[in-house]
Amino acid sequence: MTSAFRRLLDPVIDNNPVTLQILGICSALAVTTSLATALTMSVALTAVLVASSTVISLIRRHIPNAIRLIVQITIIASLVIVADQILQAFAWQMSQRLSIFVGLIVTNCLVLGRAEGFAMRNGVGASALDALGNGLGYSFILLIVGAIREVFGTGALFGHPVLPTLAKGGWFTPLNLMMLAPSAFFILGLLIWFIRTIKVEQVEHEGTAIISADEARKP
Amino acid sequence: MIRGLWERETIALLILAAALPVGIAGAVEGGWAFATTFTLALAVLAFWQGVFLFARAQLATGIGVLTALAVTLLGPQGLAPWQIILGVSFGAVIGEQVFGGWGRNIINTAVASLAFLFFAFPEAVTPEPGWLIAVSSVPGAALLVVLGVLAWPIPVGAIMGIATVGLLMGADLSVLFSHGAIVFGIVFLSGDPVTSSATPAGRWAYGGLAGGLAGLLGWAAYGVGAPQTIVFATLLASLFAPLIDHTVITISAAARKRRHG
Repeated sequence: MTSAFRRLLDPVIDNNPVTLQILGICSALAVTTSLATALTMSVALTAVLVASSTVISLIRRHIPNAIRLIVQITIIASLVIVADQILQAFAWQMSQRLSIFVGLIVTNCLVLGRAEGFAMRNGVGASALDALGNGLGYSFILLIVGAIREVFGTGALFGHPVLPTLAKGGWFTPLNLMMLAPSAFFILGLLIWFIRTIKVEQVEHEGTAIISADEARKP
Repeated sequence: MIRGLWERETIALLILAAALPVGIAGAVEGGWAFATTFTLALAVLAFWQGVFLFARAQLATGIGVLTALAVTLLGPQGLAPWQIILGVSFGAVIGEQVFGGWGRNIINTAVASLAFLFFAFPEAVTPEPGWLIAVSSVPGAALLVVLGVLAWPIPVGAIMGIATVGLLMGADLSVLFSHGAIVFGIVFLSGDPVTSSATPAGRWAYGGLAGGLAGLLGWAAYGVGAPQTIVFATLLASLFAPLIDHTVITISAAARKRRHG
């Protein structure tokens, strides 16, 4: 596998931003009640991520180190506004369903994480590929969670019925729990469990346990 | 835990013995529907215990019988078999087995199953267990308190918590002990020795918190006899149990240090 290919595919499973780095959880909970919103959010986030990483990588040698976070956030925020406006112009219904969560891509740790962690010290091509790969990894998880929640919460996929619900004369009682945010936590947790059962190297070592506040304060 | 006779399964058997009158009362009241739900829940729990016995070497435990009983008594009525299987599987796996089996869990298995069922199928009708269940819980509670399995400050604190909230809200307290869900729930769910607080002062705080929440949920939302009341109150309180214990230990350690330098 060439390095460019690796850079693109690595974040999808092996170094997934959601299930391994546990980034971008907030939106993964909020927009996954249906597959359509999850897909829109995935596209919007991937677009913003690729564009911001490219731009930041382009000007990385000109950004003063002391104010780099402010510069990064300014660029990301501008791109998010563009994405939000495009969504409002061409998909008004969808932008209403997503409410504030497209705007909140600004605060998505994933975007700033890739900008600060990768784009600041790598070339434009590598940064764009890395951003695209992370966007795909995020989208992959979001679509899985969205599909599970929509199927079991409403018995439909993309709005098309797949399980015969009780209201339409079938046997399936929609799980109301799936429409609530905690269900996304459970699904994400089970997904992480599943991935780490197959890919054992993703399990944290004993030494990486969270240290308590008392230990952190020790000199 | 004290070694010798007092191992985990001893506790499980004692709790089951204490729950026996409730089981008989439930079977008499519920009849055929009770028997089928109970058997199904028990089979699902046995299945998951078997899976984790072979996958992770987590020993099976008899406490599953109490879990099945609690789910049958307090759960919604008229559920399809797949709904019961789903709810009990959720409780068994997420509530108990992922933590390492009974004894290491932070929330009660039955509470997790019931909370899942209440949230997942809110339109299902939930029956309110009556005075027979309440009365039949009392001998078991006495047995558990005498044997030291159930710490008495927990039920007493819970009753004081409910009564305090009830008095503040101007509710009629005399009906409290005729509700099977609240009495059974305080003894066997809130009083679960695994998921409740373990320090003497912590038990009062935990019991008071569980009771106070039950009072709030009971008189302001679900109705004091509804199973949701005690299940959600126990769920929230047991999440706070480790924090309560930690706080009590920190305070007493600080007090010791001040006293003895």
